[in-house]
Amino acid sequence: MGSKREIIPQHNVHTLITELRELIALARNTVARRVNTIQIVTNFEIGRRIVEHEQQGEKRAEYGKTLLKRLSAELTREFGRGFSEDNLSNMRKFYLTYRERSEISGTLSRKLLSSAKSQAPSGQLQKSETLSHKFTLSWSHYVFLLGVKKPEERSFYEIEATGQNWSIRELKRQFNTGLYERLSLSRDKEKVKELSEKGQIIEKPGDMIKYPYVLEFLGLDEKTAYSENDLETAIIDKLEHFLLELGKGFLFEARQKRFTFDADHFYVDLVFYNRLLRCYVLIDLKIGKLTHQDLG
Amino acid sequence: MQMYINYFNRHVRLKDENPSIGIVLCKMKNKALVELTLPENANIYASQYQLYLPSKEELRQKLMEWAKENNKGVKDGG
Repeated sequence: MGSKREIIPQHNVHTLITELRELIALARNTVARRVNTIQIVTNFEIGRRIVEHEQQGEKRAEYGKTLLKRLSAELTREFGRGFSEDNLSNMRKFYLTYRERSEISGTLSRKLLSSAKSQAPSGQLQKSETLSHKFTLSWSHYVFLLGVKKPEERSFYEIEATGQNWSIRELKRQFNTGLYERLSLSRDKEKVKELSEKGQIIEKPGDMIKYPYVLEFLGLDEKTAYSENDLETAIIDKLEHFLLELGKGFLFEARQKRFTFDADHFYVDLVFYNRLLRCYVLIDLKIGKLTHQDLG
Repeated sequence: MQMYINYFNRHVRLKDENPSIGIVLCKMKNKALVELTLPENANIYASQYQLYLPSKEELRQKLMEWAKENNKGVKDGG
């Protein structure tokens, strides 16, 4: 750089702004994630303490209730919102549901436990951050997952929500449409087991098919007459939802894609591409009865 | 659908891409018809759509039926 003041080229400023933007976004993201991490680990610890306290004391169910009530009153008075009886009960359940994860990191958590009384709580939280790597979603995601009764199913939704960055709303929708059951319906026993261990792995065409596809977001009524064109238009209007319903890796290419053969025109209703399978996926819509001509 | 798939495979698909897949999304699927029409290695699937959210119970029921069928050694290819 010379001693004279130079005019900074415009594109350099743009690059700088882009860089700064990324830096700030990263920082905010990191902070948000740290806050989330600390919240999860703290709630896990709160749950653990409550359970351990219960184990030492009376086993009656009423005692548990009274305890939560008392804790809730005390903590809310001092720290404000976030410590309702319900939420404390969730923390307790959270610990009970996922306690194995702290046991895997074995000696560490036991050490933490035994030194719990002598050590300052903050130091302990820092250490138990190794635990945080085992929780990939937000607290509200976990509160929702606690309501999923079957462990295999709970694990499946946790993996999918993490992998596909589902918001809590999207997670709820996927659960309510029974994604797990629908994918299970097209799989054998081994593959269903894989769902809960690895999530939905898409390796071959059959892996992405769902039975059935749930299109409640189109807002079409079962009872009113609609044409194939209505259905297609509704899908295009709600393309974002439809892509989520189709599943992982889908990109939209065209509707009513025309090709000509022997001077005749043919139209494919919807043309998608799947990035994971690296192939075209053609969709034909049929509002009436399926006939062999539709397939052949 | 088979014709569309063939067309895409021969004229649109690039060399390093995989064979195209077809989904016939219908209101009512007829399993027997699908099995009779399509060869086993067809890249065509028939599935149903529905315009309302299924009840969890409905799905669980289906899943149990399917598990029973599966235990008997009958595989459901779709």
